[in-house]
Amino acid sequence: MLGARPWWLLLAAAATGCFFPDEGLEAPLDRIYFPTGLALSPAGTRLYVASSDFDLQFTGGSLLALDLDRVHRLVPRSCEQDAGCAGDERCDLEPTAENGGAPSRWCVKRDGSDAGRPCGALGEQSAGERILHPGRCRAVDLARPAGGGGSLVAGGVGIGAFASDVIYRSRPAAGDGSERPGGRLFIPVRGDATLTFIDVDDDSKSDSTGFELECGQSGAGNRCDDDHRRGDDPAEENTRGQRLPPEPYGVDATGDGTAIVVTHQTEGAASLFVSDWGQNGELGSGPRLEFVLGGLPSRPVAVVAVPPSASRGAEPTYEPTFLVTSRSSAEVRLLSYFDDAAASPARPFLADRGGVAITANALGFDSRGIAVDTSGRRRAEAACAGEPEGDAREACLDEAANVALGVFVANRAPSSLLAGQTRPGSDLPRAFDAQPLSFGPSRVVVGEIIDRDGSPAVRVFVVCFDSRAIYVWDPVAREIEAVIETGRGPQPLVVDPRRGLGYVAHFTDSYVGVIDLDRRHPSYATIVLSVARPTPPRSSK
Amino acid sequence: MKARDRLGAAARLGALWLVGLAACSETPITLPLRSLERSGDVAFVCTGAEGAGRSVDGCPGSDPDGTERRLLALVTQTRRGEVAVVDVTAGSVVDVDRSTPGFSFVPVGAQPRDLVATPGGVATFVGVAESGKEGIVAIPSTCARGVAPDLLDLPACALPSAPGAMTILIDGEVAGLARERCDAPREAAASEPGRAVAASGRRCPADLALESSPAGRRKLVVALPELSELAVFDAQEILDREPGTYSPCVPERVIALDVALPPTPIAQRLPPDLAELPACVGSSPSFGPAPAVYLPRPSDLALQGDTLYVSDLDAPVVHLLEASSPCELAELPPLLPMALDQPTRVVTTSRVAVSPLTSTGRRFAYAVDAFDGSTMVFDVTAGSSERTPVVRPGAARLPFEPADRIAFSSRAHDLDFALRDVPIADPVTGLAVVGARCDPDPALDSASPGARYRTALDFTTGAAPRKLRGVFGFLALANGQVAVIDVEDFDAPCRRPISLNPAAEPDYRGCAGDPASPAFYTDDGTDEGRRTVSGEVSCGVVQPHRARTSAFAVSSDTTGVRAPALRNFPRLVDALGGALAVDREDDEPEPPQLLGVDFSGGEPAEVYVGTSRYQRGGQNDLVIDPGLAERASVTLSFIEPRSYAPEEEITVAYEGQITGTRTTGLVRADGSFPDDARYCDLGVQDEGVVRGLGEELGVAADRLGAFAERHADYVQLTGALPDPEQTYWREGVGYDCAGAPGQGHNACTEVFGTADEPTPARDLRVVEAYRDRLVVAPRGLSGDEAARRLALVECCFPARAAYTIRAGHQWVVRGSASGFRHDIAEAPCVDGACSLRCTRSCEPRRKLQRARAFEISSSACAIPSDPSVAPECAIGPADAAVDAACVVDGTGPIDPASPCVFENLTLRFAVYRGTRPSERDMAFSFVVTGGFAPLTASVAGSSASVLPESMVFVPQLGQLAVVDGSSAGLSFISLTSVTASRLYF
Repeated sequence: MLGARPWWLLLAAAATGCFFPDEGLEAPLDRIYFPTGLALSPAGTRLYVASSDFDLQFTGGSLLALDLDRVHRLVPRSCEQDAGCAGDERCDLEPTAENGGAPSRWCVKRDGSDAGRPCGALGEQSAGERILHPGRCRAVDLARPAGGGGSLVAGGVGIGAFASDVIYRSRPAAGDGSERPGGRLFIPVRGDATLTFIDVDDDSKSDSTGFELECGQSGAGNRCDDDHRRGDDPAEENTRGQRLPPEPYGVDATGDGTAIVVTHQTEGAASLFVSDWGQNGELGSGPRLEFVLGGLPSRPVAVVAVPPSASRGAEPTYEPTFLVTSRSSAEVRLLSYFDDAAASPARPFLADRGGVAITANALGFDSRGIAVDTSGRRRAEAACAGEPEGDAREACLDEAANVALGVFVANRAPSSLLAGQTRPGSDLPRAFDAQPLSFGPSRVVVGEIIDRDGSPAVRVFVVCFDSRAIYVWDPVAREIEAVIETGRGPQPLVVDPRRGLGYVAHFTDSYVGVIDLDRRHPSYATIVLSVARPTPPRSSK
Repeated sequence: MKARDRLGAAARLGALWLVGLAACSETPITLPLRSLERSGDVAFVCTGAEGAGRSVDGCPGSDPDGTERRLLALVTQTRRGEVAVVDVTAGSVVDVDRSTPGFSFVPVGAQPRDLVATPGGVATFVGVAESGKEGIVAIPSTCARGVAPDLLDLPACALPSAPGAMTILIDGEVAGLARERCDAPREAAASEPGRAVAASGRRCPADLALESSPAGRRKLVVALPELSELAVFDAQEILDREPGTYSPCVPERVIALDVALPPTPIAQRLPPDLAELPACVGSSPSFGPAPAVYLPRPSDLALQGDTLYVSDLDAPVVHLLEASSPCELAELPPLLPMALDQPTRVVTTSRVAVSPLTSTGRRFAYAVDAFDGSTMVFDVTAGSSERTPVVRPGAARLPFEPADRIAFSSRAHDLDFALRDVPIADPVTGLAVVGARCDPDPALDSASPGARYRTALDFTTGAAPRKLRGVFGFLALANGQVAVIDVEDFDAPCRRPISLNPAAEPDYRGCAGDPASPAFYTDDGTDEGRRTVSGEVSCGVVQPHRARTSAFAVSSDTTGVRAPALRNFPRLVDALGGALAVDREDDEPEPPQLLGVDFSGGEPAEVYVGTSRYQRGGQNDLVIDPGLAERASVTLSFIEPRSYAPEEEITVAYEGQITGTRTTGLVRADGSFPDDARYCDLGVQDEGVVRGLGEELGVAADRLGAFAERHADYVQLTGALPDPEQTYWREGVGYDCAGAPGQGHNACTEVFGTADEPTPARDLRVVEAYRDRLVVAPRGLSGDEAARRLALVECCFPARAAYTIRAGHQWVVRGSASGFRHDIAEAPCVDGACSLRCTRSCEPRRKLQRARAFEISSSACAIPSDPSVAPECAIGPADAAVDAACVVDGTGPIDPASPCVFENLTLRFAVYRGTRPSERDMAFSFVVTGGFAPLTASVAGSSASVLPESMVFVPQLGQLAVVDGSSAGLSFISLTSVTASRLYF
């Protein structure tokens, strides 16, 4: 039944393609649709994909959990000889009819219908298809992947439209130091100006939560409930009467997920959520909007939490800091989080600690993504383990705290990667250098590849949305090591150092590309698998 | 069709025609198509007919048969994996394959890095760094244009790791004999053309034996950064490889670079004005533990004569190699980059360049600090034992850059040198001598070359900022500017004031050590004569290894304001912005006065206001007597024009703010005030610092304590009290603040006022200042009363509150560009223990970084018994109870040598108390303009979106070639006009 609405109204609605608020298609939970956020579970068994429903074809977006163990089994494996492959496989080193005269240097089946075929049951893309969707093999169907086993989607929930990103934080240890199961995803949703949170399992812990995704989901679209959308109820969340401003965009949180900062891309503001992780076995009440900091340079976009040094983070007076970039202003800004524990009641807030001008390139404004590299400091801290406990180790850690952090910013004026360092005793970066890139740098990710000797090596990845490329920058050599050709609209990227893989979600064609990040492989810095069938936007058809 | 219909159709057609006409008549928009994108590096080759190589010095020119030679620029395209060819002679980008839409370039493989051409133009070698396919690709000039080469047409070889910088060295002939390999015997045939495999039978032949100058075998030296090595390859051997193959390159020599640091650190040699520096050991920040072992990572190569300079990205050395023979490269003791201001930082280098010899036989190497993009100067003159960066004199007056660095706001991406002259021929001999210096001596014959280089009276000819005669350095900055650095300016003797100062001590113009005569550099030796120099305000206009100025430092009707000058005389406003002025006609109390002071050398005070020069007792009289002056003034120093920002507004405010408003102040009843604000960097002066100031000012010992309390900085709480609805006031500690149960908020408001109407109770003086905290006490209170007040502050402001810090009864000088300059630093650590206390720095470079002035009051000014009557005094009355310093007993201008005269890098003045008390936020303001602007050329002609990646001086053109990593392609900077002359994109 269509209900009591007048028939002419329904006809008009159908003619214009409009939907009544309580009608319309729910976001599908078996496909990716304009993805804008990726997050990796701690042990790398789950890839969380936030889809934005950018063209509003559905009533909202979605958050899917993909089974990466199964995805990984579909990734071609590089080889140098047959001994590097399984018993029923050989190394594809010679031109054959099956490989089209172009050896893949992957392990291929010896026998069967897919014998000798580099892409196996997936089949190979044509030359024209590879131009749009780089990668030798055809895409893996999410719902019916090659090799069977059912959908690669381990779980999915519906969220609001226009999600802009997603981050993962593990549940911190209990007061007695014992591990608590699970973690949490935080997703800024521009459509309804909220921060959605979803409790998830943590595959790195011995205890399981027993669920895949938990956000009070229900209904046909398995939608998250209102209680898991925060920032829209001042009375419940804060004593300042503040509501989350519009256009939440960038998000990051302290390592323990206690303080979460969200930027607002059309305002000069950043918002602070403080997360309640609950006691004992409870999930906790989740994040509360506590403070909105205004007066920032217009159009802040990306935000990154600055990890503290081992010595500083242990101090009771430690104040977590965040770095924020801006589209309109040629600077990077430093924010500090204050828990206000001395006050009664405590009202946490953010303070603007000033900024540093970007003079590393001609114009300096229009900064987008930002990321921090702590590897140098962590190495110095690790070296202190050899010092005897007590003053000697403390002094060693204090010295290690002076090792600069690398700060990397994707900038568009002109298109460049800005590489800087923090100063001793300060989290403000300085001394930016600029590496030219092609058009459209958007996100920056610091991650580890597997180097030629099999050891991990830090690289900075810059996703260039407009030019369909991801630059791989070596911070030691200060050179671009490789350029990963991607499909259309690459946006979020995560790096899985354990497997030597990267995952990039393609916003335009709604699929995920799997990138080989093992320098020992000839396919290094190329897309070796596409997950989910590329779907061009409706308007382009 | 009916008539009506025909008419309608015609009308519609007519309307359509009109619309079409309007559209067609619009001016078409021409979009420049960009062919070069993400360019990296450039090499130049000269070619003749059929692409045959020619000596690069032969371009521009013609072959004997009249064929015009082409100067080609090969530019790496890092995104496309190609090398673009720009025909500089024809002025166009070359499309090597016209059958393909768009511009096609020479494919070389992904991630091309450096490229280098042989001196005879036969071939260019490109290093490619694609992961797994690292190698060297050779581009014979026969295939550089019009041939559409494929990657398989080019000889190449594989390297074990990514190549870095490259250069060509010549294994010269000995007794006319060359050798094909380092280990082969020398024979005459080795240099015979036609013997090489690639000499013929190739689509792209290349025979390096055709290059005759310089004679000898061409060796390609390639840096392998990941392997910490330099590898030497025979260039012809690479060219002889079968195109389409990619077997490993075979090095003839491999030099494993060493990091030979001295066993004990070598200190930089300091100029006399910094001689005190070692004794003043500040607590410089630590940059973390230094590596135990350094692995070299060569980043750049520069060849000068028989020495190869190699910058290093991972080790604190610039390697030097003896390179007279590429087969016997040997490391020499390296240069040692370091940072005077950050001695614990490991300094590495990204680029290096070496200058030509100066006219005095000196040579310098410039190296870019990889950390911040500043440039170090090394003296590499033959016989010099200096291995550390040069510390330039005069650093105390140059706060904008370190003493041992050339620094700009944007970092240097590349650098090079040029020796250039525009010699004037001797009218008698007809000879033009390169390097003839300008001579300002009025006794010299005006027709002699030395005199003919002088600046003309109308500034149109002769020595000038844009006339480059000498040796100059050039820095390609990341912001798209190319900055010019003076190394040796042949015209420097003529760029100065007309006044001479024979004394060893510089005068206020920075002149010193001049000849005893003449008295003035004018034709008649008087200050009224026609000048024989440029007449600039300072002797410091041209200084070696400093940025060159872009304009004459002269303020005149001809040049406009180009020297430091005021835009207007200072104006005084009260706290609300209302104007205040001295008016001796009325009986009202007079406000304080800001007045210039004579120079310490006895010269009368002077200042330019616009292009008008005001001088005490001069034609435009600068009145500095507080009893006579009717307008405020200051004097500006001309010792170092680089001390000045191009333009800035200066405010001198009574009890002005040291900091902006901070929101995280937290007061405790014990006086502690923790906030990680880096107070020493902010310049906070606590009572201890002020005591020291008082001693310098001659304050009596028994009055120092009171002096310190009065003049220490103070915290002003500016934020609001917690909201009265908060539970804190109903149930928390705030319930009975001030002992008033239930009235805590009201009691606090009564004492502290509101954020809009604060009371003085919010002012807390700084007893002690540390990096991360303060110890405060209520201003004007002591003992139990102070303790009670602090407890009340803690009660009324329980959470972090907004605050600012102000100077105590002092005038604060702040510039819109220079900010608040101060000499406060953290106290040095002692035996590893660091107090973090703020103290005055003993650094000689910070002596003139001052931003506070004490008011001068007069003990001769009697305060009338009738408080309604204003005292009639030139200088306001001193209060014997509180004024312990800067009290004069006269009415005239203060002694120029008095410590109460404010002097910093640029300003010199005295503040005289008025008969009207000074109030907080009263402020003098004025604009100083005509500051230093460096000479730069911009490559951002066609686009503001530029990012220069590399630069090289092309002596054949007399221009700099700048390669842009963004979209500006290849630009040429003319050294005649110091502007961009040609753009290829």
